[in-house]
Amino acid sequence: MSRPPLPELPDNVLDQAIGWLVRIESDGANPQLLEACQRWRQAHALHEVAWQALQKSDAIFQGLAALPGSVARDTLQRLQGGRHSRRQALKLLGVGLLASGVTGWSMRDSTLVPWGADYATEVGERRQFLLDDGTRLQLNTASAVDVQFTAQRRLIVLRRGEIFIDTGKDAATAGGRRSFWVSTRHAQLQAIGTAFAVRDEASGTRLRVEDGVVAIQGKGQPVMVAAGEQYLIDAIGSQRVETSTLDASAWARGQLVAKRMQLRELTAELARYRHGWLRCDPAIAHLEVSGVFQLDDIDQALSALSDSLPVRVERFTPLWTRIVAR
Amino acid sequence: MSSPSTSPTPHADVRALYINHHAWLLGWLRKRMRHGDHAADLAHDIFVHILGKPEQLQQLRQPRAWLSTVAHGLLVDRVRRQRVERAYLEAIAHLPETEVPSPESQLILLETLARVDALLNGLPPKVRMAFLLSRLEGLSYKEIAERLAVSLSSVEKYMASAIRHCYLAQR
Repeated sequence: MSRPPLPELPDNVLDQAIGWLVRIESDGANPQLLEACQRWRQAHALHEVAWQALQKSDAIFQGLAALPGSVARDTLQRLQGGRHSRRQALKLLGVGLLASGVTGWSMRDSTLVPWGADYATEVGERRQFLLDDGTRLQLNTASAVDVQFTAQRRLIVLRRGEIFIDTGKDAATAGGRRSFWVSTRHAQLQAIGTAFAVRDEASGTRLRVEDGVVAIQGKGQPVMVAAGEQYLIDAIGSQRVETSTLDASAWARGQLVAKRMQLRELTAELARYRHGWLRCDPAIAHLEVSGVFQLDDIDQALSALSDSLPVRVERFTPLWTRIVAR
Repeated sequence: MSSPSTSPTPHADVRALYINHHAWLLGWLRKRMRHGDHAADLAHDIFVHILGKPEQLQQLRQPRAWLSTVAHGLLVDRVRRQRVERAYLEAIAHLPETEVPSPESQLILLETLARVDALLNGLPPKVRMAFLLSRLEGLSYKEIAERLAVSLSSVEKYMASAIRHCYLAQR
């Protein structure tokens, strides 16, 4: 990887060379400009040295030719963004991040945490909080919520990811219990003495009630969801999910429970819990899997897959993993 | 310089260093890393690294100070690599399978991305963006001006400043 160093050039020569390069790049079709640049290069040996040196200086970008340009740029912007927001984070490191009790946060990928979220988890992390009304709030991997309690109502805003809520008795409030709401991008949910899981997905909000009743509040009549039921809510409305391949609240016990789930879907589920790239080969994407996987050890879950299916796990770096046919 | 024939073999030096300080180094690393397993890995890497530089071991007065300097360097390097790899993997996450570069070419790409990132460090965001649009996506100055909603002469200024920065950083 060692490259010959670029030559030391007098400042004015370097500036002239850069001036020519920029003018030509800006208006390359101009023949007079090209000719004039040619004359400048020939006027002094040092000019030509400077011109060549600038080309060499640019050569580093050729090493990225195998990558689509937009992806290379995206990567570098993400790196920049991370640095930037980490600096911002230092300034903003106030109640929000402290409340979530995050330690070692400089190592975490802060680009992904919505700023100012009251409670947040990073990829692979699950946390449980006891709110002051007695509610037990659990956050799954890469999730963030705001808690907005007023004298009249309790509101939890799901900003990202997945939560499990076991509502508290709200005993300390004079005049009885305040109403309890969860708000997502797609839905307003009112809890009526319950335990339930809410998940923010690309296409909608998934609600699974474990205990009691949750009302999906919309334009028309509210939809009452009872224990054991699962609903998917999007901009159009809400729909009952009759058969689910995933146990929607098993994660709260640290498990991923799959029932006849396609490998593609299972891979995507597992990928939520770890950093990096995890995919399965399209050729085996339709294989069906049933089983219980421990979320604290995704690598173990992957080896379990290769024990029970005709697949093997390819690892190229700790963050790059692919499931392929055996 | 003393004659090397009187000193023990480098391996014996590393062995002694390992026996006396490995547990301490592991503790030092554990305090700084989230996963104990990774600390053990890195401690291992550090001793492998030291095996490659036996000359530094000969007259070591303060082995722990030296070990922690080496460890710190490798730790920073590792975190930097992980940052780059993570950003890269996020960037390719939505690419169709067929367009994802092979894992074999990935190591070189990551190394190059890390170098380019270091090279561009310190450039103002707009300058950096203009330069990347030009060098990575092949956009013309006119297109860059439109994309960034600035004048053509601003783009020329951005480019001149980025080219200069890159040149001086590689000299």
